[in-house]
Amino acid sequence: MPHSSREAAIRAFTGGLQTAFTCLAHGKVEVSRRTFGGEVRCYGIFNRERPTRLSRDLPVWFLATHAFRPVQAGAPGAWTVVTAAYNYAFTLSEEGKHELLAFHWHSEDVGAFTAPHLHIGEGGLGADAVFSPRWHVPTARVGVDDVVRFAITQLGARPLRSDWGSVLARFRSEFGE
Amino acid sequence: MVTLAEEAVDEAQFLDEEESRRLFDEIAQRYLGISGQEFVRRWERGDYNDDYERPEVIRVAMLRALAT
Repeated sequence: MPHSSREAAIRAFTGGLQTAFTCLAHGKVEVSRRTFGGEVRCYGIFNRERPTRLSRDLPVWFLATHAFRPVQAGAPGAWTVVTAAYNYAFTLSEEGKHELLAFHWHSEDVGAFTAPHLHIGEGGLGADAVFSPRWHVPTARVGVDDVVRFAITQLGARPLRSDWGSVLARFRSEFGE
Repeated sequence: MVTLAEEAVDEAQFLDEEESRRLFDEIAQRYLGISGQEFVRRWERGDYNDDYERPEVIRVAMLRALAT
């Protein structure tokens, strides 16, 4: 959904991130805006990247960073945002150790594997596993809504809003790339 | 219809440069026990070249722009 200014696009996506994450866990998105060579990149960080427990009866913690860039949306004066990078991780401890799995997409300034991928963490592997947590399992690009839906429907996290399904559908409709 | 942004943007917070640096420092301390500046030094020196997939490292590395 295009917006009338770069600032409006950034604020809209930030609000969308906040709403989507809080279907899953209590907390706050903080956004840091940096400029590189004239290009603005925003880092949306949930709960200061502290692992946040999903539900009282589910010993799984969630942490999330979503980087995005405002871009012109075609028509003059119209702006939207596109995803630049993300890290959505689920861990088995509140210290962030024993990662269960992590959805990553990052640019080459972080590592050689630049396509979207999944890590199966040591928390998800038995002692005799032949699978390595270092392996990058290729995926399609994963959206915030996909990750929240995965946590609720697959991991069994208790949603904090009864209308989470429609909230995530609206997120996809307003911000899907 | 109220958009998702209108519903929640006031609950989010926009950080200035100093707040961004403090947050990066906090994250580097939490996951690696070092300051943000020290992480950037080690990263640029290549200390993490064989280790960047480690969950604690990548969580910090992806945010190192906050240190600038």
